[in-house]
Amino acid sequence: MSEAASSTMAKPATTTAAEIIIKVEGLTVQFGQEAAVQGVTFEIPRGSIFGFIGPSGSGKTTTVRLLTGFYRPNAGRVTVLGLPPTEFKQDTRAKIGYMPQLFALYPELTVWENLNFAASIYGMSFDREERLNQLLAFVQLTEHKSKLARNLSGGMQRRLSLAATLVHDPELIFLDEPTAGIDPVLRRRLWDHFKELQQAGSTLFVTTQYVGEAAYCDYVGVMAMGRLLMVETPEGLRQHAFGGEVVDLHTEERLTYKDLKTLSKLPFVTGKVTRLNDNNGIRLIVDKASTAIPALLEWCQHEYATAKSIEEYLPPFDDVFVELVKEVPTDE
Amino acid sequence: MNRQPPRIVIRISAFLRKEIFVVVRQPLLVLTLVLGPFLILLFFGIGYRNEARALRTIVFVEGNQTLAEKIEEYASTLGQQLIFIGITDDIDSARESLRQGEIDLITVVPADAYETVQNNQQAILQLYHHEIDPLQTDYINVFGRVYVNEINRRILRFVTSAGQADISQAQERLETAQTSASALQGLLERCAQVLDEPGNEASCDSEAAQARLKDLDHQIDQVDIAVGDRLNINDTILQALNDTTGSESVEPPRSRLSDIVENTNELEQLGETADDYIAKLEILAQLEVDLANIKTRLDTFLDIDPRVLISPFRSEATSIATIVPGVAGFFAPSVVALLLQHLAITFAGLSMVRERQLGAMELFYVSPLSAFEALVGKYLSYLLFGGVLAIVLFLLVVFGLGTPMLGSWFSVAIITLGLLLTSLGIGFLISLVSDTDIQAVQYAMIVLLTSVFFSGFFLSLETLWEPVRVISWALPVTYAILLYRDVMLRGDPMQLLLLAWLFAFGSVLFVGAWLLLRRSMAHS
Repeated sequence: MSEAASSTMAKPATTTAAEIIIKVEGLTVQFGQEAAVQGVTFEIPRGSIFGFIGPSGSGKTTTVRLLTGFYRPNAGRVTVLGLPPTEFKQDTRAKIGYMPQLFALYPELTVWENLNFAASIYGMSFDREERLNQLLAFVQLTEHKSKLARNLSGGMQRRLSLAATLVHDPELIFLDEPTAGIDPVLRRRLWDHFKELQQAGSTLFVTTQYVGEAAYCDYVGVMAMGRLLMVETPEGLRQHAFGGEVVDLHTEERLTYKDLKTLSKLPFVTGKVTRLNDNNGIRLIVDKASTAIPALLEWCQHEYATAKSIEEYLPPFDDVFVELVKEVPTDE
Repeated sequence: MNRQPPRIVIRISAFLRKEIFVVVRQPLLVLTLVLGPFLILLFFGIGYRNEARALRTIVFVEGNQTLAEKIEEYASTLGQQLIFIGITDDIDSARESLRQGEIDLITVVPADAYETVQNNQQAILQLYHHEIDPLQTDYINVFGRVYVNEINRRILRFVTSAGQADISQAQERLETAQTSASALQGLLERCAQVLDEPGNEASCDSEAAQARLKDLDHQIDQVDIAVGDRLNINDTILQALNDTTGSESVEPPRSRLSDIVENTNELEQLGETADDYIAKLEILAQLEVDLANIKTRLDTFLDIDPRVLISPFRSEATSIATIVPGVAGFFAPSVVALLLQHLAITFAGLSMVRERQLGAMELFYVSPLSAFEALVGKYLSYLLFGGVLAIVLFLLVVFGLGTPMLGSWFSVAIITLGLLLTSLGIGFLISLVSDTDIQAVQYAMIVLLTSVFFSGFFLSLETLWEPVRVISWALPVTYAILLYRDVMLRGDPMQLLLLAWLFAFGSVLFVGAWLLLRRSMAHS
């Protein structure tokens, strides 16, 4: 069984025990006969953005609900803010912000009233006007504060949900697919907001279907079929998916099959050597692009090949995800 | 430093404001809730006629023209509830008309009614109708009994009137006999004087006396024939009336016609001496007293209206309540109670389902909000909204429709609080066991339907079998209707026991709803 398929993952090297805000070990939950989450293990350091990426139905929302205590696990241990979620008291809950996947605010209330409601259920004092205005400005809804929530666009509703989630200035924020169904410009803006929150000291646990959003995260957990394939930094994910870094080499002349065989035997080439669609280009998986590129140029000179261009290629995370999911064992 | 209320108050206030905003943002709903029951009561008050239903009736008589004419005469005048359409001898076409709804009733008169009665049996008037409503069927049965009684009374009245007419003729003969007796007395007195005082110049015309005596004898025979047993019947009726009513009036000794006849026979042979005449005069005096007695009795009989004789009693009901409201006035407190219950159950019933469908329950769980705070917040908001609605409705029915308000407004407010509190409890329980809003609405409708039949809204609780009344007492509206009627329509103070039960019931429901919500918010 591969390391990824085991659904266990060592914590990222940069974390220490003191900084851990969420700790999950062998988390499993079943709905009837079907396991929604199986043996998930990870740790999240305080002050980071943890992206939880996976296709629809992979177990992301279930995991969030387990972390907030809404579901009880069938097996495994969860500690959030130092406590199992099922033992949260009011003061622990007051440190958590949760934005569910669907818009859970009231369509008949205005933006301001919805925000006020959220502030009240967190027991915030009635002197909160400044805080609410600050939040509306943060999510750029100040001009719309008198609008009924049902009259807001999808993007505005997501931003209102975000504002309601942040109203009590939580330490730990769970955002369940906050960018789902939103145009790319707004998605980018929301991620800017998340970065600002991180800079202000919050820890964010963000689930998303958009694999590309992994780039905004400090750590990324990849979920598929209820299993956590790995937890890595975005760069680590790429390396893991392709077995190294990717370099694209373009030459004046088409390299022969014998050349490709020779290249694949070079010591710094760790993976496949494949031709690109333009015939004169090849893609190589190397252990480290920064050292491989000068070595490849030297090889071209030695073999009388004229290098037209050579650069490190950063594959999109969609491709990274596809590569990673290939490793997931089937139920059989 | 600005003091802030405790967090529990802030959290409860979140729901108080939120629910009120949600309702206020639906002005059409609020308008419907206020105007709906008011208009229902208004149109009911205008439209409801407190009169028994009139039945279009065809009378079927088979081949008896005389009877048909008599029936027609009767049927046209029996009463307003019988609309006489006509007489037919075609029962099939009458039945078809009944099926088509062109008439409401067929009355079949037996052709051999006279013979049946002569055979010591009651003749049956068969009524055919096309009703399936049990209440209407009962009404037709009562209608049949009332109208047959009326026919029976008319027959009795006819017989009594005929008897009185005969007695009227007998009375004339009685007066003639009294005149003859008076004349005879004069003749006998003169003869007695002549025989008793020989020097007396008066003459005794014994032949004239004898002739007058024969005439009197004849007159008495005529009276005997004319009066006969009628006098006994008359006496029996009056005696029975006397006994039934428990009258303590002392009746004078009754003279019998047979005594009079006997006395007349004793007068037949006039004697020779003054003592004979004096003895005859004593008999004659008694005879005159007897005749006067009989005349008085006949006069009494004739003076009583035949309608009174055959129906000596009738009833008149008078309520000792302060007022007797109209139909709309009587139902107004019940309609308001029913509406408030339904409103509270529906609003509360949809409330938690909606939170769940919206996903807000998940948010509540993650937040520091407790089930108690959420429930109290919702209770307060709906109590406030229901209270305002109750004020508007009661003002409209009292000052707009003229429904009496004999008791105190404070009592009405306390009852309304109990009603809303308990109804909200039922609503929240419904909400917490329902998965969808359709399910919650269905449950609310079932409670409404149960309330209409079991709360005493239009069927008095006394009409229900006692064990079934458990259902009635499980409905807040049952308590509210009884309490509202007592306070508003009778002006009585609140029945504290009933009120205590209502509040106790509401408190139990609150605890039940709280436990369920707590479990629901604890985990999934």
